[in-house]
Formats: sequence, C-alpha cells, structure tokens
Amino acid sequence: MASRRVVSRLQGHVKPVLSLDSTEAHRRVLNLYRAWYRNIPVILNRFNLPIDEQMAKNKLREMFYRYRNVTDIRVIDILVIKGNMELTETVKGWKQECHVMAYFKDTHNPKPKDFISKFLSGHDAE
Amino acid sequence: MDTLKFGDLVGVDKYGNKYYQNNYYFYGKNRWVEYNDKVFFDYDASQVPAEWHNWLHYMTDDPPTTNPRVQYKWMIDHTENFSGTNRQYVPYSTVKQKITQWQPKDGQKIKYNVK
Amino acid sequence: MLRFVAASCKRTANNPSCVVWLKECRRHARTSGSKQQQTSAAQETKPKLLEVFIDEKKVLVEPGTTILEAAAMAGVEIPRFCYHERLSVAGNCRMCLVEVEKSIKPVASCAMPIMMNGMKVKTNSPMTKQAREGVMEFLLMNHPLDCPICDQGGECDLQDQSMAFGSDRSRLQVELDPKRAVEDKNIGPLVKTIMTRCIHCTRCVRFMNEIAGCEDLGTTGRGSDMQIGTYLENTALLSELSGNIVDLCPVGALTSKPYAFTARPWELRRVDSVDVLDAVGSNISVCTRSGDLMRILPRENDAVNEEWLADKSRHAPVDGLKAQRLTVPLLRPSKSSQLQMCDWEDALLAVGRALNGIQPSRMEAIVGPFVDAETMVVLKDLFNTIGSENVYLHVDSDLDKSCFPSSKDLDFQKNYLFNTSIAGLEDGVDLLLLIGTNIRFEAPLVNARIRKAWRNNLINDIAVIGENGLDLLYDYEYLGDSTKVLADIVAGKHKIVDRLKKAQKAVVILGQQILKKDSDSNAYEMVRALCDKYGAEFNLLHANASTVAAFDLGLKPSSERKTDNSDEQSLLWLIGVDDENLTIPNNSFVIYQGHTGDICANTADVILPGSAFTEKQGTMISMEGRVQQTLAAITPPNMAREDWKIVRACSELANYPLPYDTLLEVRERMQQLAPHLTRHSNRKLEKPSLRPPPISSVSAQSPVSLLPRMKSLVDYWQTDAISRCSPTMSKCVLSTKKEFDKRGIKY
Repeated sequence: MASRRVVSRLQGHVKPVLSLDSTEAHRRVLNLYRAWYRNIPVILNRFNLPIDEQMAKNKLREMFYRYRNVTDIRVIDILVIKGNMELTETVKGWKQECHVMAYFKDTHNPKPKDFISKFLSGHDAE
Repeated sequence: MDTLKFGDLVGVDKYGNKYYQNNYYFYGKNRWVEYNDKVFFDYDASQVPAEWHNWLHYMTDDPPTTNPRVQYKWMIDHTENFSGTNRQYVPYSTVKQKITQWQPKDGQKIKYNVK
Repeated sequence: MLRFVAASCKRTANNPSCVVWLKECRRHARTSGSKQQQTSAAQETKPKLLEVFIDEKKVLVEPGTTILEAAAMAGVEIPRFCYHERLSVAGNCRMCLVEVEKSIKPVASCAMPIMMNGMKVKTNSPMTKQAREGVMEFLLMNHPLDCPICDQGGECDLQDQSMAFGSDRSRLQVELDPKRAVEDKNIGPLVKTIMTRCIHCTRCVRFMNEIAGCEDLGTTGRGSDMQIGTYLENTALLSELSGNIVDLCPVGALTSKPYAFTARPWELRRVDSVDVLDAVGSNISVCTRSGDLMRILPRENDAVNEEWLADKSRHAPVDGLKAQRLTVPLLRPSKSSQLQMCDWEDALLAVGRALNGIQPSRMEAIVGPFVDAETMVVLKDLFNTIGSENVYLHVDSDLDKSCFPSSKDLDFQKNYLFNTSIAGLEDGVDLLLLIGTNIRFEAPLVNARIRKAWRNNLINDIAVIGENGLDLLYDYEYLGDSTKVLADIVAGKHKIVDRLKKAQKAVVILGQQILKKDSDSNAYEMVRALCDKYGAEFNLLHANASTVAAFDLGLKPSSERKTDNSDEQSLLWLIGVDDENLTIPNNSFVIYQGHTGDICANTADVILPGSAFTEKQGTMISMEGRVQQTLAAITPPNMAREDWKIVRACSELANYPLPYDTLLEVRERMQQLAPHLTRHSNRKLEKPSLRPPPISSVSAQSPVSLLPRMKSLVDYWQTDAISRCSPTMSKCVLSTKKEFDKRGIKY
C-alpha cells in the first residue's frame, strides 16, 4: 500500500535520495543539527580548540543557515549526508585540530583585480 | 590515581601533588601520586617535579621530605611539559637578516616588525 | 714588436725623457708600419688567402692567422688555458698543442701563425691526444685536489678540460716528489688568491699590464719556482678593473673575495641585466640564489664593455643593496614628530592629500642617478596632469652646472650624447681631447677602450684639459686646467689648433663631474663652439645612468630649479636623490622614493620604498644612447614596490589616475613620447641624425679651472647611495689609502 503511494507520488518526479517529502527532510536536518549540538563539548575537549562553546554553537548555526535557501529535497538530503560524514570524521578523531579550525577560517578574499588593490596587496605581478 | 587505593601520605610537593606509599601492593604499584585537584583532568606525568620523580620511580627510597635536594641559586623552578598548549616552545629563526633596514640619522630608531 | 714597444712604454712612463723617446719610437713605428701596408696594398689589391686543412677540413684564412683561430673557423675547439682573444699571446700553457704534418714535434696552435699554403693540422690524432694528456698530467701534478672547497668548482677550465682531454691516471708519486705549494698573496679586498692552484697561464698578468694598465702583477722565478705576485708585496691592486682577473683565471687561483664560499655556480640563476652604477651601460648578468643576490658578472658585448666590468659595478650592488634598504613605507605624522612605519594606504593617502592640497606651481620632482625611464614617464605624466612642469633631473650641488646641457639644448640628441660611441673610439680617431674629466673613474670601461686604441696605435694623440697629473693609463699631452685654454682654442690661438684642423676625426669629450667654482665656467657652450668650429665630434661623458633617458624625456637639469623663500606650502618629490646640499624650499612636504636610505631620506615626510635595478624591469639608456633594459632578478624586499607603480598608485589616490596599469601600457605611452625608448637592443645603436645648429659665439668668461670631482682611485669606490652602503667598497677605500700611503702617493 505504502509502496504504491510512493510510486504514485513520484510519478513524473525523480528518485528520492532519502526523504520523500519536505517534512522528512526537515526532520533529518534537525536531527543532524542536534547531533552536532550535542557533540560540541566533546569536540572542543578532544581537539583542545582555542574557542568556547558559544562560538562553536554560533558557527554551527551559521553553517546550517548558509543553506537556508535550499529547497530541493534531494539537495537537502545530500547535504545532510555530507554533514553526517563530517560529524563522524570529527567525533571519531579522523580529523585533526587544523581541519576542525578550518570551519573558523576567515572568508577568502577575491584576488585583487584593479591596479590599486593589486598594488596594496603586493600581488602586482602582471 | 583513577583507582581506589589506600596508603600513607608520604609528602606533598609545592604544586599540591600528594605522594602516597603502601607496601602492601606489589613493587611498582606501591608508590603513587595524586595530582592537585586544581588541574582536574589536565594532569600530566611531567607535573611531578624532579626530586619526587626520583622517589616515584624508585631511583631513591628517601623521599624529598626526609632527604631534601640541595638547592642552588641557579636552579630554575620545575615546569610541566607545555607541548600542545599556547605556552609551547615554537622554534624561530636566529639567522641574521639578509637585508638590513635603513635607520634615520637623527638618532631615532624605527622599529621594523618585518615578516 | 709593436705590442712590445707599447707595453714597455707604459712601464717606463715615470721617466719623462723615456716617454718622449718612446713616443717618437711609436710614431716612427706607426708611420713606417703604415707605409709598409701601403706598399703591400699596392702590390696586391686583396691579401691572398691560404689553404689550411684542419682535420681534413679545408679552411681559407689570411696569412698570419694562428692555427687556433683557423680551427675555430672550422668549428674545432682546441683546449687552451693561457690563450685569450683579448689578450696578447703567451703560449706558455702548451694545452693547445696540435700535430702539424711534416713537423716532428707538436705545435702550440695559439702561437703558430699560418704562413704557408696547404698546412695540414690534426687536432684529433694520437700524437695530439698524447700531448694534451701529457700537459694535463704535468698541470695536475702540482695542482691541489681541493675542488670540493674551491670556489671555481663547477666553472673551472681545468676541471672541464681534464675531464675532456686528460688522462685517466697519473704517474705522480707524492711520496717521492711532493706537490708544489705556494704562499698566498694578499692583493686587496676584491681578489682572493690561492696561489697553489695557479697553473701560470699569466692571463692575470697580461690583463693587468695590457688592459687595466696597472703593472703590479708579474711573474718571478722560473720553472717550478715560478710565482705570480706583486713584486713588492703590495696589499692592493691599484686598479678599477681588477675584478676581471677573477673571470679570466681558468683555475681557482684567483677568486672573488666577497663571494668566497657563498654559492656554487650550478645553484645560481642568471638574469641578463644592465649596470647602472655608471653611464656606460655595461651588460651584466645578475646571479641569484633563492631570492638572494650573490654576484654580478659581465656579459659579452663588444660594442659596450667587451667582456670586462668595472669593480664598482661588479661588487658594490651585491652587498650595497643589502644594507640600509628602505623596505616599508615610513610616514612623519607631523613636522615635529619622527618617521614611523606605516601601511601603503597611509603613505599613499598622505601623498595624495599633498598632491591635492598644494599649488601645482609649487610642486617639484627630482629624479636621481638610478631611475629608469618608465618611472620618469609616469612621474612626468602625473606632474603634467596636475599642472606642474617642474620635473627635474638631479644635478649634484657640488658640480659646475654650466658644464651640463641646459634645457634649451635638449631638443637635439646630439647635444647630450656620447656621439662617437664607445666602439667608435677605436675607429680612426686622430685626436682625442679630454676636457674636465677623470675618465678613468667616471667611466672605467670607456677609458679601457681608449687605452686599447692607444695600445694598438689607433689613437696616438691625446690631450687633456683639466686636472694635472691624472693617471689615465695612457700618455697624453696636458694643456692646462683653465677655461682660458678652451677660449684660446676657440679663438684659434692655441698650439693644438693646427692638429685639430688637420685631424680627420677629432673627438672631444667633456666630463660631467666638474667641481663648482665661484663663477660658472660656461664649459658646455665653449666645448660645443670648439667642436663646431673645428668639425670635431662632441661627446658628453655622463656620470649617471639615468641622465640620457631623462634628457630624452625632456626632464630639465635641476640646476634650473627656481626656489624662492616664501613660506607657502610646497612639495618636493625626490626619487633616489642623494645630495647633502640640496635646496629644500621652506615649508616643504618632502616625498622620498628610492631603494636605499641615504642623506636626503632624513629630511623626508613620507618615504616610499622603491626597488633597485636588480629588482625591476626598466629601461636604461647609456651615455651613447643605447637603449637597454634591466630585468628583475629578485623580488623587492618586504613591502617595497616597483618605482613606476608607486607613482601610478599615488596618482590614483590623488584623483589624477593615469591611464596605464601594466608595464606594456607604460611602454606604449613611452613610445608616444619618445619612440626610440622602446626599441631595446644591446647590439644595435641608433645614432641621431638631426644636427643641432652650430654655436657661433660664446660669451667671454673669466677663466675658471675645470677640475673633475674624482681625482684618484680613493675617490672612485664610494660615489653613490649603493656603493656608500657597500662594506666591500669601504674595504677598498681603506686598502687603497693604505697602499697609496705605502707608496708615498698623495690622494
């Protein structure tokens, strides 16, 4: 019965990755968020990071909010899968301090284009 | 340490670590240290000062309480191993700079913080 | 024969009667020589070519060509140590032995002229090979095995040739016949000697005697006791060309002292560049290792420096550009405060504010001796956009400004170039008149060229007006030091006038470093008038590398600055200007841009760190008008930038943005201004065709003596910002003074 419902819902649509509808996807996102949230103290302790919990929580929030405009369920699912992989790698210690700190890296500035910014940055090779 | 043990308090060092002995245990387990409560989980074997290290590792049977180490004025205080903390030693270049900067003639000295 | 006379002539030059006699001798030899030539030319219109067979290969050569030269024509290289194209033939190393058919013994090919037809030379026969192996074995027998610690290692002729032509074993038994050891000699702070390594090729001796004209080096003893040295234990070679013997030495006996043990040739990256320490425009290659300037070597260019390089050009930049550098922008927040380190933004903003807030007519820019043409173009464009015409070329305040061309003379290139060209000095000059110059130190390689022509009897009549008793390395007639002599010549009252009139090609060289006297000498006008009257070639001997480019671009000499005493705010932009007595207007905002902090940097309100000639690509124009470019060998240190970019950046912040962002665009602009400035060529020289109108009358002046700034070798070493910062050059000054004191020569 259920399988027929799925088939009917998907007629004319593409194959789902994990979630069948946006509620399910939303649930998965929230679950991932919680999992990260709970693991923040563990991560901080494990890697001896020079940041406090509040900063880590803000960063977590920021990383999730970065994709707030994503509406495609399949994309959301892929992002959730990737987020889970990241979490596993972090918590199991497959990452090292520098990899975790990469989340906190400043944004990359675009390469200077006009003369004066090239001059000031010292990247003035032509 | 991390186990339930009973023993006699032999002494306390200046960092607040307590040293115990109970010869009822096997040799090798009969001397132990309980680190200062302040360090909590951040205990490390390098927090034991040298004179207690001697006693703890059976290099001597006289603890520093009964047989204190001779003190000289050139001796510096014991420090733990700072590796992995922000007080760790970072090697730096001691090579003379290849290019020297100009200093004005009027006696002032410009501080160059050059990369 | 002639060569011998010329060499011995110099050797005995201290004895006046001898000089006269020898001069007569040379004159006679010259005239008789030319007579012979004439008669032989009458007999056969073109010299008969002789056939030679080098390894069965036929070559046609003129009679008198040596076998070695003939082999080179056939494309066969014969190994050699003592032979050098620019030196006389010694024939003492015996490495160039070849088998010649019908000759019992092998023949030294460098000294064997081809005189008969059909000579058959075998450069690859067993006899030749055996002869080479034998010579090599003898050379190596007394040569130390210290290649791993020898500075010549990797660029050593002995290493290379023993690999290529030597035997794989030696019969030397050290226990029976110990190796020769020779004490090292101290010959000054530039050349390091390890005399045990010497193979007695005598290239250094011949160079010093023939080209450098400093007959301090020589050989003593014979056979295995032979030694190269200064006979009198001199502790310095009194020459400005002594660095070249390091390049000449085929082994590691003479190596560069400042460069000792610093790098290996295979680690170095070579970048072709042009020297800027004098106006000759010598071709150099800059050797760097991992962003560090290691040494400077001459590059061969027959038209300019042949293959030599003056010592200051060779050694001063290597350590001079590592001391006292301006590496970060500095800013003086207010007049009373001190210079502080700042960011480029702050410095540029300060400059931009000043350029906006100050009246254009009260702005001045002065460029110094090492500035490239690109920077001058950008600077001039910026000032012209703002509305100021005051862009000047710096003229030292110690110097007589009336020996420089004034801005009205700059319309014609012929008015300020070295018109004869350096190579032209060897081309049939009948009379050479040097005025107010110590050419030996102002342009050592031009002087070497004159000496070469003099030695080859191509210039036989040299006269000097200026300092008395200058040691110019050749004989000359001293006419006096005053402008009165000049006036007499112009008026036709002087004894040299006859010779001037008779001469097919008379060359007059006016120095540009004549010391200032109470009144102007008006030397420039007088010499121009002299040249116009007698049809002599007019030459200016510039002292600074930037001068010709500045004149080409229409920069005025800074002696034409008009400074007043008003307290109105003014702006002075100095690019690499170093002058103790520079007039800085009251209430002036001084911008100093340059690579080395020197005298004028102390007065600056903003310091903009520029780059040296080794760190940027820039157009330099030599005194003869040769357009060449320097290439960047290393990056500018720390926050320093290329000079034209600094000016360009300032223009942006002053809201007068200039319309070019890249070097190519700047050069396009340069092409609009002066098309020849973008035609870089080390070989070709474009000569100006426009002839300036002749000068008819010269205003009479009271006689002034024309004395050059540099008198002796002591003055030569440290003349500019780069060489003043160089520890090697200070050592040279000390050792030269010591040597002068020892010999009792006044300096």
